[in-house]
Amino acid sequence: MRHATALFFPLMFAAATAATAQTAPNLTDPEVAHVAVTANSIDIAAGKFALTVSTNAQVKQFANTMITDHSAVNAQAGALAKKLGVTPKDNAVSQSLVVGATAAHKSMENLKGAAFDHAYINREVAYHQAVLDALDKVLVPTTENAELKKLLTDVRPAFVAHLAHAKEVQKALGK
Amino acid sequence: MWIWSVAALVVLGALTFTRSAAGPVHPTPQRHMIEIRGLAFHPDTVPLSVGDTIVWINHDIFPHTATEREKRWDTGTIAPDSTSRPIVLTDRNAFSYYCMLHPNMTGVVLVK
Repeated sequence: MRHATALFFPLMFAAATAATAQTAPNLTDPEVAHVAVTANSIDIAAGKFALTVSTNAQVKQFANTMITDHSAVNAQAGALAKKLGVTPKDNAVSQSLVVGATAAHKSMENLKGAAFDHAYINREVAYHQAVLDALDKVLVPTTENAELKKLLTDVRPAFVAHLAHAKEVQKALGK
Repeated sequence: MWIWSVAALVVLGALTFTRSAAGPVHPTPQRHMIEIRGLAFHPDTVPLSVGDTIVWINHDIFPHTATEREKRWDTGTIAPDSTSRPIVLTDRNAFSYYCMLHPNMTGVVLVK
């Protein structure tokens, strides 16, 4: 498999992870798959957490959509990995995503009401923008397997929709 | 002969009057299909006539809705790989609608 010199990874995931990815990793297809699944799982967890804290109807609806949509993407990714006989492989980018998500969760766990809603939605805006950048500049160009590349390309409109939705909620909440 | 001509004109006039009194004649109601693919409605604008029916077919892996902005009609959730319940348009109007789950998905139904 071809390896990518993903020089832009730290920048692309910076907003989403707040992690300290210092070096650009090389990603194989199993690693790209792992990054994709990890990114989806993080947003599912964030959505579930938001549902336990927020009482805002718009925020809750957004969170529910994130849970539903990212679960659907992961189900597709899982089915494709099984079909291809590929086992997603953990890697530095996935780990940096988890570190960033853990930090984000920690920063929000004591927030309530409007403060939480703002923090959650602001993070969702940044996260989806970062993931879109990563998709366009690294994940899709890096991926060799045509079916995996197609899956990543096919789900892109969902992330665009999520970003637009998050910005709409952000606007409604007032910055 | 002239009496038959007069009779024919009377009958024709009566038919014309009857037709006018019943109001405009609508074409047979049509069933329109709007496809949802890549988080977009295809086509995003649909012209149709009063009495026509629309269904939305969801080809995405995500659930969607087709919800009129003023909530005058709503398909409810359309599961992946399924077809919505039919919506019958009974009023002339330009209806803007969107997906409640993905608000940037929008479309227009023009009922003439």
